[in-house]
Amino acid sequence: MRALWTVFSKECVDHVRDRRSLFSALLFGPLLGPVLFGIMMGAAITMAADDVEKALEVPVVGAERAPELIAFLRENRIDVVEFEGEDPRAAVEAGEEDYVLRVDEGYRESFRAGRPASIGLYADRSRQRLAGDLRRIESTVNGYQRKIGQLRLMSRGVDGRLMQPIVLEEVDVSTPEARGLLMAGMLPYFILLSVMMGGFSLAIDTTAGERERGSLEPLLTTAASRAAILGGKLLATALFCLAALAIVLTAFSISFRFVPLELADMAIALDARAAVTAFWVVAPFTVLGAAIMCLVASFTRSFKEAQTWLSVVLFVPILPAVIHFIRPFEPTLLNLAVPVLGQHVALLEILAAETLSPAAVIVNAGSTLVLAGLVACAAWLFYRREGLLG
Amino acid sequence: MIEVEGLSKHFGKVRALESVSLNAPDGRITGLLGPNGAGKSTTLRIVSSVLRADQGRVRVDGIDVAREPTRARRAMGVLPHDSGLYPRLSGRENIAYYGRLNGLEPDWLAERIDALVEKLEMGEFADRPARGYSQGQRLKTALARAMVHDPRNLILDEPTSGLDVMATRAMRDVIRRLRAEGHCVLFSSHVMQEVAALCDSIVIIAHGRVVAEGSPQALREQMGTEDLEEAFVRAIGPDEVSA
Repeated sequence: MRALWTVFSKECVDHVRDRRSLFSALLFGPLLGPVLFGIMMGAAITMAADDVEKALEVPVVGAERAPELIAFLRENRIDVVEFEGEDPRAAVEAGEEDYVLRVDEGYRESFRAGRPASIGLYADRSRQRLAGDLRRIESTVNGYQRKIGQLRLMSRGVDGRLMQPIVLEEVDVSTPEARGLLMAGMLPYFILLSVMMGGFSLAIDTTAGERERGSLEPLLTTAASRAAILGGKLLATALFCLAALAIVLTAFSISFRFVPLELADMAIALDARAAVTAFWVVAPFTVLGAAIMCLVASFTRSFKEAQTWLSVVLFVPILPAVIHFIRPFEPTLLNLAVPVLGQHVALLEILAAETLSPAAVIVNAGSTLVLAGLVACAAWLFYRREGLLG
Repeated sequence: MIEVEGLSKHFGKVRALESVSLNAPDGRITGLLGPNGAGKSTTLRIVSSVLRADQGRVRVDGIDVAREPTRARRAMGVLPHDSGLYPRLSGRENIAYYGRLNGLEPDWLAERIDALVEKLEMGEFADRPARGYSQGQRLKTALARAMVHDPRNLILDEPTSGLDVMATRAMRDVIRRLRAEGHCVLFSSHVMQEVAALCDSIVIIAHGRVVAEGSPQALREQMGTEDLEEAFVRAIGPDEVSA
């Protein structure tokens, strides 16, 4: 026990002095996610809100043929301007215009005769940026079409409502927090990833790095048992994972305050209290993460080789996100009982301001710690091998 | 005192040691001499309990290393070949870490480190981070680290490799002083002159076997030559020379 404590405190002191990896583990890693997230979400929401309000400018060919339609578009904040080029299709293809609306020559005649009058909309549908604008143009034109259709029926003495046998009333019972999850769905991944990154360099430095420097063999000739040496290193790794967790949660909860979620009628429930809950729920994962990294470090021969295993290590927090993407899961006790997946689900629940049952939290922590113990045992078996010395 | 009896060791199909026996008594310097790859490091690693022998046994002050590794480790200090320090810790902190791992009490540890720093003339650099140490300073720190728990037996694997002339001399002085204090010193080298200059008795090892042993004088007589280097070459056999 005393040897374990000695190893633990030495590794902590040693690593704190390693400014560069400390910076990447505890500052750059855990802060990058929240800052990027805040900026991206903020920008997305502000842009979406701006888009609704801003008037759209649409070049039109043959506007004079459909004055009522043009007037309707203008009423709906679509600024109609004269298309000045020759060929609307060529202009859109060349990227000179984003979209062009074309009113056909026979429009007026067909319209008067009560036949479908044709208009054309040229646009490059592969351009994501225009999707919102195009939807607005289409829905405005459809609105005009509905209005004219009803008027035509009325003038013939028919109730226009006959055309509408059903009214579908959508009742959205989701809370702003749940809607916020649509945006924050990647958050658990970021958090679990930061936890792993927080301990990665320490885990590697303390085994593969130790072997590479030639300090492992003398260490093994001291009276400390290999279990105590591994245990001390594992706990030091877990402590740095835990520090990264605290930093990333604090940073996320601060960065969300600057995101105008209310503009999109959303909310993310990561206030100080939720952040503390999240910390305790994810805390057991730090031991598992540390055990996995110590296992990797125990059989890799050098710092460089260990770093090539980084992708495998980083797969651990990605896995639940991938599963969730393919088949979204509900917060059942069974899902919560699966390590890593459970933390992912629990974080989503916390962010959606749902309450987690104490039983679920205990089952989640228990299963995670059991798995961490098994992985640590595997690492210990590697530590006992003669090949450990390389 | 270190007693090695009939050690054999395989790594896969490679036979590294074949029935190696030797005795290193207290107050004497015993040299393990042999070409590179002869099995010197493997022997010392088995003695220091980081490797296990397939056959044979090692006793350090009468303690069986395989049966009671922790007790045996307390009785010996080990300086492995190319052993590294923690670059971000100072020399003193490097030594203190090993002291605590070996279960020394804090008060006594501080005293012990002061004594070692003085003994090995480390005063000028002991408080600096080990990152900037010269090869000689690194080796002194590693040796102090191996000796922090005041073991009677010292196992040094190629302690002078990579040192310049002055540092080599200083290291030899340290080893002689350890003998004078009654320590048992077992050290390995592939340099003939080194072993000749220091050792009370020499064990020559080649292809994992002990091919000759005795005092430098006895070896010369045994091989029928006055030149110790020639005795070494004859002892390890002709194919080693051409290799």
